[in-house]
Amino acid sequence: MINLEHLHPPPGCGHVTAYENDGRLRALHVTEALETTKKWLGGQFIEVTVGQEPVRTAHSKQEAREAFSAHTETPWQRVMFAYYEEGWEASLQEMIKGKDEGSLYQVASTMASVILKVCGIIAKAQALLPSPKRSGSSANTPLVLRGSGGSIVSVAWHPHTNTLAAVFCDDTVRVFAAGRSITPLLKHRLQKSITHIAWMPYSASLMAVGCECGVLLWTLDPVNVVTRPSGSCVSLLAHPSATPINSLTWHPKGNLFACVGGSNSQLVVWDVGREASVVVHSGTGGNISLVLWSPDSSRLFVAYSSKIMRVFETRSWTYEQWSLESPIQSAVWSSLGHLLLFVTQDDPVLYYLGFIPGEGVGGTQVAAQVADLTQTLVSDEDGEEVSVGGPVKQLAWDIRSERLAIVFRDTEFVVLFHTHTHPTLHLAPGGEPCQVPVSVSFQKNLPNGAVLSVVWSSGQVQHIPMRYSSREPLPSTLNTSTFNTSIRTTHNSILNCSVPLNTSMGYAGSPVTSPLIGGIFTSP
Amino acid sequence: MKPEDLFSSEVLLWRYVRALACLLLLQVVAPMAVCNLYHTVVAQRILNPITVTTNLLTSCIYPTKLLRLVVPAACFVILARVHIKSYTVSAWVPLNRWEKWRRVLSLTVILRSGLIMIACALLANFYTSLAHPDFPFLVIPCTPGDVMCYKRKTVIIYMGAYVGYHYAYKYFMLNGNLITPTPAHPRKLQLIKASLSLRSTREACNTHGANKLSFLCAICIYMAAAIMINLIYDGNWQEWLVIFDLPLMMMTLLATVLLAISLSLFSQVFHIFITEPVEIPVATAEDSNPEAETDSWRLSNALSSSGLLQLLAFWDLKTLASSDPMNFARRTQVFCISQPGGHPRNWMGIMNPSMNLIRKFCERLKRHNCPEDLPKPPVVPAGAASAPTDVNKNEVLIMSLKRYPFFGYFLSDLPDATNRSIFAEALPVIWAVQALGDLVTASFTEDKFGVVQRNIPDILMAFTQLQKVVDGLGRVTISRRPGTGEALPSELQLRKALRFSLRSALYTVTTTFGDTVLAMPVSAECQSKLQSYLQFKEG
Repeated sequence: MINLEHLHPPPGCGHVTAYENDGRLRALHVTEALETTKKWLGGQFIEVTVGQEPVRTAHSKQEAREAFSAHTETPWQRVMFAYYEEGWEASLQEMIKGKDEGSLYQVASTMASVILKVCGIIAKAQALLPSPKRSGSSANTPLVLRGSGGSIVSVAWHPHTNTLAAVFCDDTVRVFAAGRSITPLLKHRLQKSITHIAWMPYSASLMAVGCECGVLLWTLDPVNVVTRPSGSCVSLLAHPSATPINSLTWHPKGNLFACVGGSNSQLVVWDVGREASVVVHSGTGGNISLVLWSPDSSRLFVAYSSKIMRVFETRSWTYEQWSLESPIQSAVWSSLGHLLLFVTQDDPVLYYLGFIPGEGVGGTQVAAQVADLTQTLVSDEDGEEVSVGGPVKQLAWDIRSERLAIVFRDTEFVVLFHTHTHPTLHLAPGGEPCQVPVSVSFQKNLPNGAVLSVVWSSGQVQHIPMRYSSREPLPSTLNTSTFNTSIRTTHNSILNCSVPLNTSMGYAGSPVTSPLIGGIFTSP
Repeated sequence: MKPEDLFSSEVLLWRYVRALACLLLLQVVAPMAVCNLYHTVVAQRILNPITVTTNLLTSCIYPTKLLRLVVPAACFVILARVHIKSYTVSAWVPLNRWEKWRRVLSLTVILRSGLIMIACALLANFYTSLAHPDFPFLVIPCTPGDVMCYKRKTVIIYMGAYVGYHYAYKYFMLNGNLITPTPAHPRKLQLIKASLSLRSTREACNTHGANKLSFLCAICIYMAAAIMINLIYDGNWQEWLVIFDLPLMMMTLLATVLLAISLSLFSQVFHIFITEPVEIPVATAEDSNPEAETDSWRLSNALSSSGLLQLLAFWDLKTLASSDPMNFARRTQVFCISQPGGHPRNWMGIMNPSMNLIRKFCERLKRHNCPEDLPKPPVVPAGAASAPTDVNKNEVLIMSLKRYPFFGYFLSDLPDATNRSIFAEALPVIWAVQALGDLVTASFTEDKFGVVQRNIPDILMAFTQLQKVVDGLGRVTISRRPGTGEALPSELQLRKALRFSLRSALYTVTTTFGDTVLAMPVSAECQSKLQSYLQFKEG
């Protein structure tokens, strides 16, 4: 199994990774790197900038109210108001805050604190039980809270054009397009606590924003020059059993999307045109943190906040279930939809699960470990020791499944794998000091090569162009029948780490570098 | 045998039977079994499992119990009969107020509403008798001196009929009888489970008249009517105040809520069973025999039929065309050519009905909105000119009547009604567009013999033409603010959906074929449209 010690040394201090050429990542000085990227991308370069106006984080809105309210009302009134505005829990907390207001109030305050403590204990006890109502997994916290201080928290590339949507920490979305000076600002009163954004495939203009009240569908006319699209461009698709949205995923053809949310385990599929929805699964298993539609549209991956994951086939929505040692953190499908890579929240190991085409889900019994991502110390190009790896935050795979980027929770280097039948390991963009990557995303419309966009904790978005000759054809140009046969043949072969890169092997294969080591995952 | 007949005798009939069986099991047998179990275990304190089981079994064959089972079963059969006779696949859009009134006052609607009301009254009575022994069942006569018994019965029956009326009005006038397949088809059990959830039952109570307001209204109307009747027949009206007793109120509430839930469950389960997708073979064994019947059970025939079969056939076509590798074998059949002869029979069998549907729809829209764009019809020979004059006479009469305010109120067209009534039938068109787009895309890699190639320009032209007409109508007039929770009427939603799927289908084709679409022999207008699709400039 491959591990992080096989990495090429990361760039030294003051250098950032600028591009990939000849299979190697090159690091340059910060300014030089930007210049090179601009030169490489030419007219396709998109500079993601924050405007002049300061961007305030969305979760500090509550404090502003306190700053302005004059405390002329009596403490009892304050408790009443808190009850009306935020419910009984807030009113109890308000009761505790009051001081020196007479003996009756003191008694009430003590009682309130006792009640709150009891409630806290009950909540803690509930958290221990595997109850479906438990919430608070890391995947369904809003993007804003997952980011760490910067003004941009996430980016999403349009699947077909050179357009990039960036989520800002004040719950607005800005759309940057190459060669256009206008950056539409998407802002709506319902657009709060954004958890996920996704462009609709096979469309120029539709974007789904998953947030607190459901999915907001923005229709942005590509030739329009409006900087603030009005409320008539939005339609809200809200299903009561899937709000607030935890995750959403488009059908690869674009007419449907699946979303999950709230504290129940219901899987809702929407027909976007008709605005009709159906609950395709409502079972146990805790709340769902992640859904992913496979690129061939035949399967849907569903990760639960408890220690299970399921893969549904999308014909009659039956599923196969795998139990895990810790909940799923992130997962990606390969471009052909026959492989699933995933990482769990606690184990720094990259797993893969293969699927055999045919009736039903057809997943393999056990997931295999592909790469060991344990935190290790490696020396950079200057000879200094830096630590890489650890628990994973996000996986991103490019459209041809040739480059896999991994962002870690505790360390600041992005790791980039060349994935094919044989993943050779390469180094990722090195960080400036105190810079942590927040999220990564691959551009999707390139005829060859790839561009990785990294959102840094400072709010900067860096594009890293990668020039390589593609060995895997795009999924749309594949014949399904040949796909069937080739997956079967490669499935049985054992590939070894020391096998040199074999360009004549064709496209299909699993990113396996070692004999399959599995066993902790079992099918029911 | 025609495909429609085959479909109704071999598929639909069984669906009706299964739906009814499922409903009876869900709403009569299961609650009664639970009630019996409760009665034996809790009330009679029998805990021996064998005794409990035998008690359950013997109670099932008691004549009184059986009689009780017969009545709800009959109600469900009546309801099912009404539903089977009056469901529709396209929404009803009245062109003017007169049509609305005509439908309200039409004999079939009144008769069917009456049947629903009777069934509901009986069901309400059944539920109350099940819940409380003080409320005797309809067939058991009241003792002569018991005034309360009689009044209780009337109140319950009245409330049942009221809920039934509410439901029937929604069903016939507000397109409650519209059935459309859901966006995805999980197993039926899952769908039934979802419709049994607490949220949907609460929603059902609100929509079917078991909410607080309509409950209050109904009681007020009922009281007023009762007092009026008593005054006319010189009775003591204060007698009627007796019905304000708490148990009766509770019981009425319970019965109404149960009734609303069972009605909503009824329509949902019915809907689930009827709209279950059906897989229709692309090619059958008869195809090799050229003298085989033309009306066999084949996708091409089903596509050119009408109603539910056509809708389900287009759904099947859409599923077949989607990129799912599981449908690969069926798609191969579409792209194959006949042996011997080499005719692309299967593809033509699919393309022709779909294109006809799209063209006809486009023509209807054009005729209403931009008649000058239509090609001129051929000159009618002089002998056949008598029928149009009759039509003209009628039109003249209506036009002259419209001038009077009273008739004008009824006869003047409702806003955008014609377009709305056209778009109400757009669902199969939407699926035809999606399916053709997907099939053309799939042909890029899967079509070995090039059977689709010849028709791609036609398809693209039809798409762009339809899009031009639909876009020419302007935006949907009724807009709504997101988050207010109101849904668009189905026909306006379908109009949006049609625009949406046309764009999506054109993008799918242009993205897959790339610049080669520009080399196709299409009209200049279509070409410029395709160009802008290639550049992702169509929003």
